[in-house]
Amino acid sequence: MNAHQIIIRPLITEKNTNLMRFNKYSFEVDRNATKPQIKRAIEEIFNVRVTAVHTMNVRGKLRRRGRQYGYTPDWKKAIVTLAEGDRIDLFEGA
Amino acid sequence: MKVTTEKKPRSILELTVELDKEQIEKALDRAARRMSQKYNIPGFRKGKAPRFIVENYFGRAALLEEASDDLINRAFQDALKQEGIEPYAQAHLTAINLETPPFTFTVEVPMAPTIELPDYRAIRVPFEPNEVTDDMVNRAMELRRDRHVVLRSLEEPRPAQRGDQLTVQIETYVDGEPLEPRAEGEEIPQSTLVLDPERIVPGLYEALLGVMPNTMVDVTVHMADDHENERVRGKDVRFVVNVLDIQERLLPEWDELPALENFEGTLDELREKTRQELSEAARKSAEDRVFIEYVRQVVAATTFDLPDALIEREADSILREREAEYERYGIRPEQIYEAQGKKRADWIEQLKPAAEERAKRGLVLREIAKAEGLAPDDAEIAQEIEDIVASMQEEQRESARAILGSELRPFVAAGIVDRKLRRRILAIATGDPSFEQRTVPAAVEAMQEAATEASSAAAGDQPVGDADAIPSAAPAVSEKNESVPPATDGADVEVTTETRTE
Repeated sequence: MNAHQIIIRPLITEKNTNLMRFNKYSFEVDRNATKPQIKRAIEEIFNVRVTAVHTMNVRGKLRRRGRQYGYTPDWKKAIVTLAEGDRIDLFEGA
Repeated sequence: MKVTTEKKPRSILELTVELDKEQIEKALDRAARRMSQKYNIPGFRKGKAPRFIVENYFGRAALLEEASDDLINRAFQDALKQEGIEPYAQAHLTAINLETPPFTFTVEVPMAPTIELPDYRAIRVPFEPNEVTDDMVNRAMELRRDRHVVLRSLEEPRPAQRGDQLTVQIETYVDGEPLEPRAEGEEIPQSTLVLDPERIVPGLYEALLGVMPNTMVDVTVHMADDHENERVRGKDVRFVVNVLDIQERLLPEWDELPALENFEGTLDELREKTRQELSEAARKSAEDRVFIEYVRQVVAATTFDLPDALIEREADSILREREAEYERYGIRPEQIYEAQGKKRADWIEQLKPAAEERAKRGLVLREIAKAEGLAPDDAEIAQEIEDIVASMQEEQRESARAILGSELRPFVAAGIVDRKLRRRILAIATGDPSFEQRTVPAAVEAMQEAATEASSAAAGDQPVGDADAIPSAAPAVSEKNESVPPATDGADVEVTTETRTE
């Protein structure tokens, strides 16, 4: 798996934006990715130093389509803490 | 913030404002906050998205657009304050660059008009009141008597005589066309004619003399070359008159006249009073002529730099006065515009030349008042208020005094200035300082004015005759003298209009 297969997309929400104050950035990552893999991928893509990675599996939500009920896919979220002084510009815009 | 100004013609000041980066950033912050409150950004509650998110989401251009109104407004106000500029009217944005530094915008600010008075004290206009002749007095007395006429129907039909009153239907034709086209089947309106060679066109008078009731008279008369109605001037006019009724006009005896006029005195004294009123009216109209001519000459010699906004404002104020006039007759202005197929804006455009003239007059008068130092002091205003109050009814005095002393105080002051200015201008124009000594309190003068107006109307200030000669062309309304543009012109006029519309 290459870095871009591991890191699926950055998560830009109110909550995650607030986390950025603590130099923590959130991403949706591949469900099978491990913390070391995520660390390496982030370091590779954004050219930063990662000090910690927290992950969690997010359960899919119950959705209804007509009479049918189903679930949105489960996915994995990673919150990456960067070394002091590093930052990811992707979130800050151009 | 750097502000550069450049003077342009027509009292326009071009203001170029260069914005600091910091100012722009602040404005963008404010704009981002507004946008995040307005729009939904996924992942954020309304108003919670930080600026960089908003900027990323909508793009910098959108943010700039949102920011520009607010940014330019604030910067413009700051620039005005910084440069100590007081705009005269709404400014216009002419150029804007917030994309690349230097961030600038350009605004055209209309400034207060500048005017340069000529040596107005050197302008002279002769004061030439018309002489009051015995003939004029006689005519005025005749008119006084005429007001007490009694109409009596004839017992036996007889031919019309001089002095009779005829009830008629008149149709007037010029070049074979009716002068006043009527809808088909519409009845010719009835009117009355006094059979008097001085009141009826010569020719028609002779034709009507001696007619019996219920006869038709068809006569063609050649109109004078200087007739005031230009549609009939110097033309052959055909009158078709249906004489419906003849009434005798019984005029009172001359020695009854003083009593009928509620005048305590003899007929000779009444005549003397009439003469005085006439000469007062003549003096007044001569004063008016001097005033108008003087102001005209000063305006012509003055250099103006007027902003278009001023002229537009003046045209609007003229139009509003007219609308108020219509409304007094119960006509909505929109009805007029609709009937004429014109929009209000067209009228404004059309009124602009007149508005420019009026604005110039007002400015000149104001400038002269300033130059002459005519502003009243507190004592004068207090005295004026007392004078006005004295002319009111007892129970209204207290409240009138209160309101005149507070809200209406500027108007009272303006009234004093107007009056002083008029006297001063007459004194300057004629070189006769005695005009200024004749200071009369406003209330008294207003009453006098009313009196002289009444008497001049009675005395027939305009020559009797051709003016009323063609009955169908000139309805029997005595045309009110196109009166002087009083000193309350220009800026003060706005004031009067406002009070009117309120």
